[in-house]
Amino acid sequence: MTFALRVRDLVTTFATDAGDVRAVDGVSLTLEPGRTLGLVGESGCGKSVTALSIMGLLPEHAAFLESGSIEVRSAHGAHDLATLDDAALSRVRGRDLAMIFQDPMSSLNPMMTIGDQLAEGLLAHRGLSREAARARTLELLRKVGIAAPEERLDVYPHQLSGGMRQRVMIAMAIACEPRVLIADEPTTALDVTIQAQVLELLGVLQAELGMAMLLITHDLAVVSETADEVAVMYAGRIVERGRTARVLETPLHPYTRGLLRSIPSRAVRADASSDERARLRLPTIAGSVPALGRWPAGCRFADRCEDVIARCREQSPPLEEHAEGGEVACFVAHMREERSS
Amino acid sequence: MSAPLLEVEGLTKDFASGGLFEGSRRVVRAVDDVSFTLDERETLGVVGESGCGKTTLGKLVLALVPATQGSVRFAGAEVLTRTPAAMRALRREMQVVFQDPMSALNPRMTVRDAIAEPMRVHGLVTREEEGDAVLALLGRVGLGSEHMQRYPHEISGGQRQRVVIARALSLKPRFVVCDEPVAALDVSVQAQVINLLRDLSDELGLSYLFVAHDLSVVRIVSQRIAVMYLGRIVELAETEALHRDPLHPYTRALLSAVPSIEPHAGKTRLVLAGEPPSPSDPRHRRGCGFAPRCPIAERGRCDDERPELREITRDGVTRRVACHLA
Repeated sequence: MTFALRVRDLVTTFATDAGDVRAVDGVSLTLEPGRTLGLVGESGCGKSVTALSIMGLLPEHAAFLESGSIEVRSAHGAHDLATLDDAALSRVRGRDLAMIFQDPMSSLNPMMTIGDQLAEGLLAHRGLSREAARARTLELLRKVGIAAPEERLDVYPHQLSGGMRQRVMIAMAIACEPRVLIADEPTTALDVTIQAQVLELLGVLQAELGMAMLLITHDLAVVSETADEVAVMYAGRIVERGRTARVLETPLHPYTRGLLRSIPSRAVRADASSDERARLRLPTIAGSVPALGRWPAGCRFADRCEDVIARCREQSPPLEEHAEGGEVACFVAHMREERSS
Repeated sequence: MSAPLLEVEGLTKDFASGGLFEGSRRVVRAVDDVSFTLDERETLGVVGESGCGKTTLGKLVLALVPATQGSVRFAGAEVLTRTPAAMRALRREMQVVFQDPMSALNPRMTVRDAIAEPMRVHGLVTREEEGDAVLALLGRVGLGSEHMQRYPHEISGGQRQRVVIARALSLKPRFVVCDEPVAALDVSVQAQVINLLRDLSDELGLSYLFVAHDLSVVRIVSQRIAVMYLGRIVELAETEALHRDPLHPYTRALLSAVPSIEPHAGKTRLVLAGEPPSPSDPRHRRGCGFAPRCPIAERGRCDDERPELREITRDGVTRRVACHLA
């Protein structure tokens, strides 16, 4: 199988007052060219830390890559980012690998015009002349749907709306036509009509450039509409992975099941009457997400799980293939699989 | 039928915006001639995108910001012209729950003190009764005695929002403005808090003005929904009717833009061009505020003549829509 990005057994550790804590604990994932993997989970599950680890953007001194490999394959060869020094990593980042963040305001330089910020990457990675960089910048702005790009070149980020800023950030990310785009909650801060525009734009660009995309989000509906595959994270680990339709229609892990059930749009049928709606209670998952590092031994979901058995509290279930397709890390799901086969 | 609990009429709010100097100052109309009623035990959802005025509307109704024009009657009495003393009595009946419980709670106050404070201020409990009263409220929102002495940073986001709700309930209000009460919570916790708010409404007979951007959340809690755009209500209808048959083109676009969890939902998305306009933009003074983005706007009419919020009856259901073409 050809891959654009392959992460294996990634462990990222945070140094805290209470000692070292593994925020990401043995995550593996593969991105194929032109396809999207949705990485979902609730706050603190480690999905953003996974992205920062891949990009080599972990906060210095506070966090480090403990082990694992991060292989990127592109026209420029194959690299394991985990072994590269800062200078080499900088070359790969931006060229083969780019990232967009939730909040474009804090990712754009407030003191630099849009034109200068866009040109910066092109000058660094592509060695373009000023002239050529300007032409390419205009082309990029047009590509991300910014009208009258000539008028935007000398504008500062604060003069743009949130949706426009996100478009500018996407333009920066695709400037060097990366093989892999990591999008961390790219539409969470946007209004729903703008979210629809940005998701559509990302889809068009991906098809055009053949990028692999890692889409990190808490919103399962966004995943449903954009991702080919989904990986569900809980407490630093991937607990389930598979084709999007399979995971959403036949979730295997009790956490995935609970998460899907608790979504309001899924809990109420589209044609529900007002009486049905009034009587309805949303199914919930008991308890709350455990704080970083305060994870129970064995399966980390055990305390909140409706299917829990004694074994779950003693051993950590490995992520293993399941007959329904994809993989799941749950003893009970695998027991049911054996019984039904 | 009994009179509504809340009657809002022609409510308008102007903010002065812009420069330090007289000449550069502009007036921004954040809420523009909004009228609606809310019955006892009813939840009215208010949806719209950022800058549409939904949060300001909630604050105006509670008289947390002064209105420029209009009237708010609560249980038959005018709210906006009350003296501070009369307002204080009314505060007991009208409470608010905001989006971010961390900034709504004093970080140096224990959960017990946070919940007890309003009751102390209003002289509702004696020192001896206070502990039991707080415990009863905690039980009501699904927390227990173990949370009494905790500080906000020692409990989870969902628990914090429960504390805020318990505090809002401590004065036995009849009406609560919920402004994005679950937007900051994770999905699994969001469901818990939505259930709690619904149970409280059933058990205590509360009415909510439920302000949120998430249409699926609003749909679950509201009997009726008001859609806002540029400070105005553009459509107000019963929840089912609004979802089944949205009449305003903006409502249609908004519903269509919500991503669906169901794979292959098969709906064709109506992607709206342009962005939600800023209320400070003077171009929207004339005509329908939505006209520049509207897929069906008629030139010479929609951009010139402002559509009133008028009653339309369809299939036996009456609702209000502000659109010339509906």
